[in-house]
Amino acid sequence: MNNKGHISIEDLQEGFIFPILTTNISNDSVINYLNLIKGDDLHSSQELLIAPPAAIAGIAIGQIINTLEFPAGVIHLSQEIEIIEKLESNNSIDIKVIIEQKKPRKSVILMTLSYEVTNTKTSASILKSKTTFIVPESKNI
Amino acid sequence: MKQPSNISYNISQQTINNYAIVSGDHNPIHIDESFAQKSEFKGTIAHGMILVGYFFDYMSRSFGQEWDESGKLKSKFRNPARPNDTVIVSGSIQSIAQNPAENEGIPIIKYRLELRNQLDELLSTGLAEFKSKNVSSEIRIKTTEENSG
Repeated sequence: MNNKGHISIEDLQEGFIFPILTTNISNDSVINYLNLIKGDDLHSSQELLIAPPAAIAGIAIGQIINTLEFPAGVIHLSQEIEIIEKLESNNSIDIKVIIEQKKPRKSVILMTLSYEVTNTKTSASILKSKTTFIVPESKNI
Repeated sequence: MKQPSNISYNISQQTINNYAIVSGDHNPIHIDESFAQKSEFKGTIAHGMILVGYFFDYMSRSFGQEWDESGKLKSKFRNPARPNDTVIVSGSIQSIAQNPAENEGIPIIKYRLELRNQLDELLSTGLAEFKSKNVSSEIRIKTTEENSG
């Protein structure tokens, strides 16, 4: 699903709630993730896999970033993840995001996004997460 | 519960490029060498979530199902990991708390994590937390003594 809404940084005030983002955790993306993190040599298969929570959180962050008009050169400062429930591959997830913190600091903005990932089909909570970025104010770092 | 062994991981530009494809995070600081050369880092750096992935993998290999079902991680990125780095994850128990009134009396383990590169530079730290029924009384006593001492 295309989530490219391009929300501008100016619109993101503390407490801003994003429209729900939806994406699929495909079998291939889980296999590719396991291969690059664990050094596995898995190949495409029909067998469903448990999606690693860090993979789900990373895909969620990718969706969030692509929804925003982030300038190039955004730096990831910290990350929190709480596992709630397992998710098999080939499931769709909903991502509910809120701006928890937005603080200007000289030429950068410190921004914390808090989000919950749920299973689209069952609405079960899969994980909760928090990401803090340093966002350059200029589009040219 | 045994003290887990350190685990090392190799990061290549291909690792970073593959992560960009899987996650959809195509920030040029990770994948565009000419852009990254002009940044404060003077070259591409790994996504922070790759390091988080290593922490999760370490915890899962070390503590298995108990981590996979109830784990929480807070991590901070101190310095960037770069292509061709070999990074090592290590950890140690910070505390074991057992409150019979909470979590059905199941002990909560807090586990301190570090990720360093081949030059022993600290790249990331983490605090992991999970419920464990497999804590030996020996470890509980030792940790209690350490905390009170």
